[in-house]
Amino acid sequence: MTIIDYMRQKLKEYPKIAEFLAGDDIHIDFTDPEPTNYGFSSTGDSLLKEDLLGNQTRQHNFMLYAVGQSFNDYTRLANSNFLLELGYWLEQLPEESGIEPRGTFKKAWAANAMAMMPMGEAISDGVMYQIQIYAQYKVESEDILI
Amino acid sequence: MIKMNLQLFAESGKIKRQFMGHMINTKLPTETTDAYERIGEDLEEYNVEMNANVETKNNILGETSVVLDSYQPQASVEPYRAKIGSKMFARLQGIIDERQTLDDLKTDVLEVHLWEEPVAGTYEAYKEEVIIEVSSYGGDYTGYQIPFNIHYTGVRTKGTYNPATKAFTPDSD
Repeated sequence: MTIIDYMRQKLKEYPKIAEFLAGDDIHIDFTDPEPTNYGFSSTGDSLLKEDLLGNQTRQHNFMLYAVGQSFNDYTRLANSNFLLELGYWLEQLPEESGIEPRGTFKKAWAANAMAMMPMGEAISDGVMYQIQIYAQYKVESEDILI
Repeated sequence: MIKMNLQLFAESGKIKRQFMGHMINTKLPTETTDAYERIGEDLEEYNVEMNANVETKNNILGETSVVLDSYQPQASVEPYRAKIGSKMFARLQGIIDERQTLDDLKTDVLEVHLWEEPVAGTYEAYKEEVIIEVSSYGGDYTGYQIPFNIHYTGVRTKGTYNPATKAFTPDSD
């Protein structure tokens, strides 16, 4: 699986997302306007460094959009806490091989968890939150291995 | 594991850095069988500093005489991230644990010219005796690190390296 598939899979495994999803999938590149829904977008991949053997350390950036309920301060605080805990959980993910091609997942972390915009005219229609997620992975060189 | 993609060789032009292969013999002082391991994982740069001994003199005619009579090559492997199962890690940890000195620090390195066409599966290579100096150990929270320096002694042999058998064979002449 690619790093995008891998991170999507990991997010689906996050226990508290499962509570919210209630059997639904995490959408790719769009978010349903109804609370509570999640959309996952890849926003780019960059080379961080390359070692002497040609092995690359790369970073993939994602944006997770989440439409949360926003009836009152209590629900909005719960949404923020959800994003905070998701960030902590991402940092605990262990290294794992199996990223195509020839890759190993190294670590992930999150930043800029924030409420972005209301989904309707009334605040009770839900609020879209966003959180930036970064995943670092290593790709082994295909040139030469001795 | 051996994988050579010869299509990526350029017959002319710039040579990719990974085609200058640096190997180090990781056999323990008590062992007799060579065990070469590639240097380069996590390393963005590896330079063998030649440290030439150069003497320059000016004469009254305004000419400069330059004498380069020897080298004291040295290289630094930093960072080196310890990895369970790596023979290099075992070698370095032995130096740390036993505070090894003198001949216990001796080993050899290979410089393998991987950009050249292999002859019967072997590549031109140079072997040189070296002394390993562990400069420090520990490191930050990202992992256990053992950076080390390699001091070349000048005992240098030309030969070939076979990646399949991981063996160096000195030239017969």
